Amino acid sequence: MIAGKDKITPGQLMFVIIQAQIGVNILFLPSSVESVASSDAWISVSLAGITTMILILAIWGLSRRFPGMILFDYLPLLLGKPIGTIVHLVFAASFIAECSLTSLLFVNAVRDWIFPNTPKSIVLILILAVSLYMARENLRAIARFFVLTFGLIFLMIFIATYAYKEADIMYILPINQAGIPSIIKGALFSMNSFFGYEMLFFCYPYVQGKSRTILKAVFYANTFSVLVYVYLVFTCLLVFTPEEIKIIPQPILYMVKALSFTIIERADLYFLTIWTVVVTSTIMAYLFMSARSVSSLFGMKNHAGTTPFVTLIVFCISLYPHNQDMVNRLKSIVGILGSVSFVTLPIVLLCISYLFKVQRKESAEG
Amino acid sequence: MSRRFVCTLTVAVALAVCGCWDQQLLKNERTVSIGGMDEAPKGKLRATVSIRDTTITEAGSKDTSEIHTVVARSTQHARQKIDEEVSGIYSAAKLRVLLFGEELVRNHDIMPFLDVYYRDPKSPLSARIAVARGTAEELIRLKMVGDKTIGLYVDDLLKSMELDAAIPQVNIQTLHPLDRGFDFSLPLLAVKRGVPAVQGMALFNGIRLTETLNLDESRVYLLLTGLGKQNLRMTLQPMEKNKSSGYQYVTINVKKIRRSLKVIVADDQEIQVRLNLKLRVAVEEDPSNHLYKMSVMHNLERLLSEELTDNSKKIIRKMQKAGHDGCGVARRLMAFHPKLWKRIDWKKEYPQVRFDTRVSLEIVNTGITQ
Repeated sequence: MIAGKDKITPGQLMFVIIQAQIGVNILFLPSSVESVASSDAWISVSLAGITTMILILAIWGLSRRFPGMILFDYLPLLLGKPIGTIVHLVFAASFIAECSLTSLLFVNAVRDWIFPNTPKSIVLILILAVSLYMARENLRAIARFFVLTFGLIFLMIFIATYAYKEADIMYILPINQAGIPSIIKGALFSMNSFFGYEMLFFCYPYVQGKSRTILKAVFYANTFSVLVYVYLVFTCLLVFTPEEIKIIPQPILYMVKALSFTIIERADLYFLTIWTVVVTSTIMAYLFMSARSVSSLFGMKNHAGTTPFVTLIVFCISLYPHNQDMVNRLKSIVGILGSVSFVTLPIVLLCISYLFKVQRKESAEG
Repeated sequence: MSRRFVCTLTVAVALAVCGCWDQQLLKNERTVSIGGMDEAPKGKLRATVSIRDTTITEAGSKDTSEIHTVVARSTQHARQKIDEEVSGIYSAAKLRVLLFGEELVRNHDIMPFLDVYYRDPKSPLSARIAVARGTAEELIRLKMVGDKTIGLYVDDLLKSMELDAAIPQVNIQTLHPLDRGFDFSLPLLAVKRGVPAVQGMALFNGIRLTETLNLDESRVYLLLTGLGKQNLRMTLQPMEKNKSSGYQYVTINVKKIRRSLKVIVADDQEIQVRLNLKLRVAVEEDPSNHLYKMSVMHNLERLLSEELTDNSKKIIRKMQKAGHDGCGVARRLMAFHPKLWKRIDWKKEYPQVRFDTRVSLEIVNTGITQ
C-alpha cells in the first residue's frame, strides 16, 4: 500500500502531465512539422493531440484494472515473467533514450543561442545535476515543484503573443493545400512532442480520488498541452513565410528574437531562460521514470539509489553525438522506441488484459 | 554533513564556471553604429563602417567615430578584414543602420549580403535598413553631422521619417527577403549639400532593386500598399492651373485610411485588382479656399480625390513596369486562387494585371480656421 505522504491530488497530477509533455520539442515542432505538412502543420498538431487522448484512455484503462500497482508491477502478470522482463527493458530504454534526447536538444539549443563557446558538458552537468536532485525525491515533491513552475509557461505564451503584430493570416491559406496524406504524416511526426502522458503509468496509483477524476485531470492536462502547441505552431506559421520556416530550426526563438521592447532587447534570452525551467521539468520527469523503471527491474522499492547511475547513462548518451547526423540517428531511435512503448504497447497491453481477463483481484488490495 | 558539503561545492562550482567561456566585455569591443555595402570590381564587396567611440573628459562625454573601408569577398569576410584594422574586437551587435549602395542592389541580389545577419544569434535584427543613392561609403564618410556621429544621425533621421509616415518601418527582421507573394521596398537616402536626407523609396523586384520613387510618390505608394499611417502629409495641387503662384497648393494630413484590395479572377482567367482607398483628411494649409461653404469644400474634396487617383494610377503603372508587387497581389492569388497560381508565370503576368484604382477623400477637419 502506498503511504499517505506519497499521494498527490488530481490537480497536481494535471500539472505533472503538462510539465512532462511541454518540453524541448516545442521549439522544433513548427519547423519539423511544417517540412511535412507545410502550411497545414497546425492541423497535424491538433490531430496528434487528439490521438494522444486515445492513448491516454488506454493507459488509464490499463491502470484502472490494476489498482495500487504501477506498470512494472503488473507487466509480469500480463505477459509472464520472461516476456514481461523484455518489455520492461524496452520501456526502460525508451525512457532513458527520451531523456537523453531532450537533454541533447536542450544543450544544442543553448549552444546555438546563448553560449557558443561553453563546453557542452558543463551545460549538461548543470542541467542534469538539478534534475537529479529533484528526481531522487518522491512523486509528491516533484509534483509540488511542477506546480510551482507552471506559471512560467504562461509567460512564454505571453512573449510569443507579442509576435502577432507581424502576423499575416494569408500565409496559412488555402487550408488543406498539403493534402490529407501529408497532414496525417505530419501528425505522426508531431506525436513525439506529446510524449510525457506515459507519466500516468507511474502516477495513477499515487493519485487520490476516483479513477474518473484522474481521467478528467489527465484530459485537461493534455488539452492544455495541445492548445499551447497548436497556438505556438499557428503563430509561427503566421509570422514566417514557408520558405523562412524551412531554414529556421527554432522558429519560436527566432520570432521572439526580433521583438524589441522599449527597455528589453533580445527577448529570446528571456524566453530561453524561462524555457530552461520548463525543459528541466521535462528532464526531471523522464529521469524519475527512467530511475523507477530501472530500480524495479532490479526489484528495488526505492528509486533514489538508482537515479545517479541513470543520470550518468543519460549524460554519456547525450554527450556523445556531435553532428546533426548523429542527432538525427538518436532522434529516429527515440522515435522508434517511443512509438513502440508509448503508442503501441499501451493498446496491446490493454487488449491482452481484456482478452485474457487479467486484472488485480479486489481482495488483493485489502 | 556530506550533503551540505556537496551542495556548497555545487554552488561554488556553478558560480565559478558561469561566463567563463562566453563573456564578452563591452570595454574590449568596438561597436559599429552604421555599416554600408557597395559594389567593388570583380564581384567583390566594398564595406564601410563607422565605429562609435565615446571619450569622457571632465567636460562630459563626447562621441567620435572612426571610419573603415575594406574590399572583401562577403559580409563575414568584410567583418574579419575590418577586425584586422581596428583595435579591440569588432562587434556588429549594436548596429543601428545597414546601408546598401544603389548600384550594388541594382546589379546583385541582396540576399547573400544579408545571410550572416540572419545566421548569427547576436546579430541586430532590429537595425534599420536603407538604400543609399550613389554609394553608401560616400554617405558614411560624412563621419559627423553637427554634433552627432553619422550612425546616430541616420538612425534618428529614419526614425523621425517613420513617425511622419513618409517611409515604412523596415528593419532586418521585417525585411523578409524570402517572402512569397510580396515584394519589399526600402527607404532611399542621399547626400544633399553635405547632409544625409531621405529621398524616397527604393522598390525591389524579388531581391533586386528595379525602381526608385521620390518622396511625393512614395507617400502615395505607402497609402496604396497599406503601409501608410496616420499623420501622413501631402501637399497637392488641385487641378485649377489658372491660379497665381502661392495659391495653388493644398496640404492635407491623413487621419484615417480605409483600404480594400480585392483580387478578382474572371471566368476568362484574367486577373483584375480592385484597389479602393478611402481617406479622411484634415486640411492643414489651403490659402485659396474658404472652406466654410460646403460647396467649396466638396469641390475641393472632388479635386483632391481626382488628383490622388491620377497619381495612384501613375505609381501603380510604375510598380508594374518595375515588376514590384508591393500590394501583395501574388500572395492573395496563392491564398485564394491556388489553382490559377500554379498555372501562371507570375513574372510575365504581373505587368498585365488590370488595376482598378480609386481614391476617395473626405475632409473632416480644417484646423481652427475654415
